[in-house]
Amino acid sequence: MTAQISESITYEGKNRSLLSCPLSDFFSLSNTPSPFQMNCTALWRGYLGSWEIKQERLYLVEVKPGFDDDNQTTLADIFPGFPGRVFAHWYTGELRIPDGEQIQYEHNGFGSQYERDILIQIKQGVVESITIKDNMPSGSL
Amino acid sequence: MIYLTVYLSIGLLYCLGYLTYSYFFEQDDSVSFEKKVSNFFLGVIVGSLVWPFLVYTHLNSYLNPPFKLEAFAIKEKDLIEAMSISEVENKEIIYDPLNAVLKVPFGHLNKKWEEFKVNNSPSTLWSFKSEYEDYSGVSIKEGYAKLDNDGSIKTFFIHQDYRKPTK
Repeated sequence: MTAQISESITYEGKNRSLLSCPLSDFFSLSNTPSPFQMNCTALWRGYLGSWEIKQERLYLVEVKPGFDDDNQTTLADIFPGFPGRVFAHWYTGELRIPDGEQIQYEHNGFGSQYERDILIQIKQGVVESITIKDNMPSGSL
Repeated sequence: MIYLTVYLSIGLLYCLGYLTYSYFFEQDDSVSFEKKVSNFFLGVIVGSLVWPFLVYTHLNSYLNPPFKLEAFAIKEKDLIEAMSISEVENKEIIYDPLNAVLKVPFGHLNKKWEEFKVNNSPSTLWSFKSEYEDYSGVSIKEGYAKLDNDGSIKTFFIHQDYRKPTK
């Protein structure tokens, strides 16, 4: 699989890449077919989601189709009544936020490595723990 | 010369044994008798020459059997607590300080929950947490299951599905 375009997340006031796809879990759990389709091998999921960690919780604040001008799907189409912010209570798992320079490119999904990963453990949409993983080879400056 | 004879003899015995076992215990009716015979002799001749490789392959497949994906099923040991529908609904109301979800059971998954109730008319449900191994690790599914009269579980509602964290 081609390297995939990341999601984005606002964390500690800074906009960053997010190498996790919590919205895919929603489509799966709710038995809702995704309204997005793949138009580019670098974006198999067909959408770009924007997320935010606020008050120790994970929120989806925007979703837009990728490489599909005809698709006008918005957040409110997927979550009626919630056009600007959706609490991602369905999501449990790890959020991976890359930090620093890319140190190894992988032509595969979210496989590329960065200097550090900020790993946020989420339980039912609520932050449980945050760890920083150092990916630099030991002994390097 | 004696070493070559010993080598080929071991190979011959090994291949004869293995192919005889295959013939009787791994029958494939789609192959004709003539084809089976020709495969048998070809196997003996080639196998006698490369038998160490065959031994390695057979041992490896015996010691490291290929992963077989099981169909997901909730087992009795996965069941946690029997609850009434109202107890489930009270427990699973989602609250959010920013009001980014309705205060209803299972929040944004409420539509699926209501469909589950209409389609299955459960009076009692069991909460469950089930671990399930797939190709990329262990997946954990949490939800509520309806226990049939015969004790089987065919109907369930999943509201959490995540990877088991790696240590």
